[in-house]
Amino acid sequence: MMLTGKRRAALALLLVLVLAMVSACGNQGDPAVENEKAAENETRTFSMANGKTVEIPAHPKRIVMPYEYLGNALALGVKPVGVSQAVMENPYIRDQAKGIENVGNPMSLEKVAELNPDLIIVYLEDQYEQLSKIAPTVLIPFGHYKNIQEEIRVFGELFGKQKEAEEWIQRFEQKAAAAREKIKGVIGEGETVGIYKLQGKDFYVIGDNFGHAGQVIYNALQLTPPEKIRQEVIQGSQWKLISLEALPDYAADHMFWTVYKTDGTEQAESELKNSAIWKNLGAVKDGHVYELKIEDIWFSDAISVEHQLDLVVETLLSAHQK
Amino acid sequence: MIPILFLCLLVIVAISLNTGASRMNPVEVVKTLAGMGTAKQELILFEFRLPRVLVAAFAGAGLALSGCVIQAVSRNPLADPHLLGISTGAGVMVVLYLSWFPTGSGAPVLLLPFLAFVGGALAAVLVFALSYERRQGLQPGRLVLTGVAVAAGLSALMTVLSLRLSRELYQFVATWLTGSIWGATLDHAWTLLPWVVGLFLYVYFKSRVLDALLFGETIATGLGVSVAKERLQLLAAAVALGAASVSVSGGIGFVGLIAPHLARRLVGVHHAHVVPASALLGACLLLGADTVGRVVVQPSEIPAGIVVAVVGAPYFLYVLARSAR
Repeated sequence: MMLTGKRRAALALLLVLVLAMVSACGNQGDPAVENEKAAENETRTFSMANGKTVEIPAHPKRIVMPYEYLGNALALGVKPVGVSQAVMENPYIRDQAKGIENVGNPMSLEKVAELNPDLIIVYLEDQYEQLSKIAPTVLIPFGHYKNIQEEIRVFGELFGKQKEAEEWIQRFEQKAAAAREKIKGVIGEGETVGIYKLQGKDFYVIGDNFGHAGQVIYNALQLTPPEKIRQEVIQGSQWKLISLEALPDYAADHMFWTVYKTDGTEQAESELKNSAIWKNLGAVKDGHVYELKIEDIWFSDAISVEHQLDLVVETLLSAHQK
Repeated sequence: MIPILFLCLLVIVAISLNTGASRMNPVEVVKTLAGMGTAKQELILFEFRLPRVLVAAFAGAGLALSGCVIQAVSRNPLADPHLLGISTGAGVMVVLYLSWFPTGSGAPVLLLPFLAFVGGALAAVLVFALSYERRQGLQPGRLVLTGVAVAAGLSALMTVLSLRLSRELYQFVATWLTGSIWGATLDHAWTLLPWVVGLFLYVYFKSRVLDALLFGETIATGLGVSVAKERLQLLAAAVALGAASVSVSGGIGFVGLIAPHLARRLVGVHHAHVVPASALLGACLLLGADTVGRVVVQPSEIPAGIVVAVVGAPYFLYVLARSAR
């Protein structure tokens, strides 16, 4: 909503008086750089996860997006001008991310406006309306698209990089097929695989579409989750907080394990690992627990998933060489 | 004293309008306000900075007024809008809504302030109902205890509900509960305005009743105040003020506690002075906190609620230490 002339005049009158005092030492500023109109003014209609549609430029040039999706843009050869602040740095895109402006989290509206974007991506709706006033804004909730292939296809459509997206999918699927060959002897027919995380003092089971290499384990490598995880986590909200007592019910033959350290995590981890419940798990007895570093599996963008595929295969192979 | 406070508020407004991630010097700010800025300067000033300034000032004033009334009616200088379960009630409603309609499902975020208001008001009504005695009306003593109990129950409920939320939504809820102004739009400001102004006038008009209630029931009755009725009406006004403010600012604490305190120290005990002074101080406090929170860790922001708490907690302890003597 813009201010009407009358209201604006009234506000101006009131504030001009006050500002006059404060602005005594104001120096001449540089004129604001006007957004250069792209040569091509074509737009396209994009339909979002919430059913609404938005007009976006056919070939966006200046993109502001969540850091969590940055790897998707980079995988398609797109370098955004601004990204939000994430909880941790993504080790796989550290170098490529250099020079991209940090716009904070939640995004600083002014900082975004300063970057003169022509497309903004968000994963939460809370700032949608305000960001829309700066540039066309697209909502892409986490885990909305079924798998990484579908997600990268959507990003390809957003950026006008459909061809690059298809190429990425093809390469990823070839790589996945090769990886499945490599681990054939390691995980036997009918054996189950699960992803588990200790965050703070809480113990979680993770699904196939919530980062933590879920896309690698269940999508690329096509490994089988325990039935209980399939029903309650993968077909549910993708993560589940469980108590230590319930762990045997969710246990798999092969367990990928990660720790997100906050207060009290170390004590919780040592208590867990010294407990009879943990020691009696089949995977623990067989040495089928594989620890991955949280920063290596936190992100779920295209570049990260590709690297995580290598990581998971290497981890499995080296654990089973001994 | 009141004109000085008003001047303070104007200065803070001016500073706040000149503060932000994008560089605009005061001359440009004045030019833009006069309608001579570039499109981008207008966007930043009228759509981003001004709504925040207005919402922070109105919400701060609303919370402070609410606290002022509650402190007088309950004759408890440590009471504040949280005591009536307002922010917890609002929080439960927000979490309930988010767990039912996760973001992206098409449910508008714009409903949140409305739901928060309903939640806050419902919790307060519950507290009222439980501390109501048929013959004596609302019992201030029971009000305090019931408020604490209801708030505890509701926050337990909120914890259970938030276990179902996704990581991003949980973060959103956590920020909301701390209190933060960053979602503010001009629509929020215009919605809040009539509540704050209207109820301010009502409370101001009742300042002599508030003075009388401070003396206790017997003397107030002797002064010709119909205690039970006035208590109920004033508390209803306090609830409306608190819930309206919380609905746009989230669960900001301390403003409703500190502002009336500070006001009494500055202008004495008469509510004809305390009421406007509280409102102005509340506005100054929340707007100042929001402005500070915007600059400290750019480009991210510290929620205003945390800045207020950083200033508020030591002051609160200071007050406690003084009153203990």
